Amino acid sequence: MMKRIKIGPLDLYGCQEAHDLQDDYIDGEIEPLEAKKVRTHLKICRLCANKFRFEELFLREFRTKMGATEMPQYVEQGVIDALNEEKNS
Amino acid sequence: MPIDFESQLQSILPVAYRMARNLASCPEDAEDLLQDASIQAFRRYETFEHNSNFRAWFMKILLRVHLNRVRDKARHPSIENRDFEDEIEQNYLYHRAKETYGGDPAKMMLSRITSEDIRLALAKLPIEFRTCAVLYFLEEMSYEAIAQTLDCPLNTVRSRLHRSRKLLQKELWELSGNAPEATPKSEAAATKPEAKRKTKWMAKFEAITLNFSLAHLRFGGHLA
Repeated sequence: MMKRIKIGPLDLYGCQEAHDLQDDYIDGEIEPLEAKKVRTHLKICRLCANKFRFEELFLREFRTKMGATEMPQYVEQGVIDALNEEKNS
Repeated sequence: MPIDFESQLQSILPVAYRMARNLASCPEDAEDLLQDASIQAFRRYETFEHNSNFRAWFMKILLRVHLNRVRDKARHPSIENRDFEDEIEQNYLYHRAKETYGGDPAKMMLSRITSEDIRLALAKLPIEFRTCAVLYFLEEMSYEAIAQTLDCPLNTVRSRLHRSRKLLQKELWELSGNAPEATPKSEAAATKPEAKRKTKWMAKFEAITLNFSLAHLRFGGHLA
């Protein structure tokens, strides 16, 4: 496990810092400077890079499969019928 | 001339159904939810500003109807303080897949997850988590937009999504039948010791590479 290194202007995130920011980084919900530090860590730490890559692929796969829900034909008719009933009531 | 309500609704119905289906725990609940939301939207259509986004307006109504129904039905207590998922490690799926398959866990694991697994896993999430997860994963809303829609602090959204990921990964691992015997035994026997040897060898190599990279960064920084 790599530790954080801070010597003068050099400030490298360790595995723990990268780990703590993993979700925010993958979701793009992170400050640019922090994102840059995470990216630098991923360049030199293959173990974290593998985990991050897996999580990115997981997110992509999850979204694709979640979005693949098809609406059955009868659902639209059900909505139209419910609206007609509402109009007539 | 403003477009009539039915035409606008019909154009977004498949998307609205997808959201309803992922929010509800079964297809019947999803249909009820969609019908209720359509009636509510029809009643409030006079308040809709015709130059704004109908889809976003309708989705908000759908979400509100969903949350009201869930609260009425189950009187769910808040789950914010429960710590049942804290024992689930981060990168749960990665670690399980790596232990089981070695090599490239993404290649072996992710293709095994089906849309039905995802729906079942979502249905098992506590309602606050599921709502956040659907808005983030399906609607691809930002944390800020979710916080505004659900009227809750940004950090609550962040925490719910973080915890949802862990719970979803654990559930998906169990649902997708990824028991060790899922890999043919001969293949497992052939790959596992090799994976172990590789890990040990690679760890040494990575340590050397890391030291080299750090030295390069340190001295590179001074020289620059």
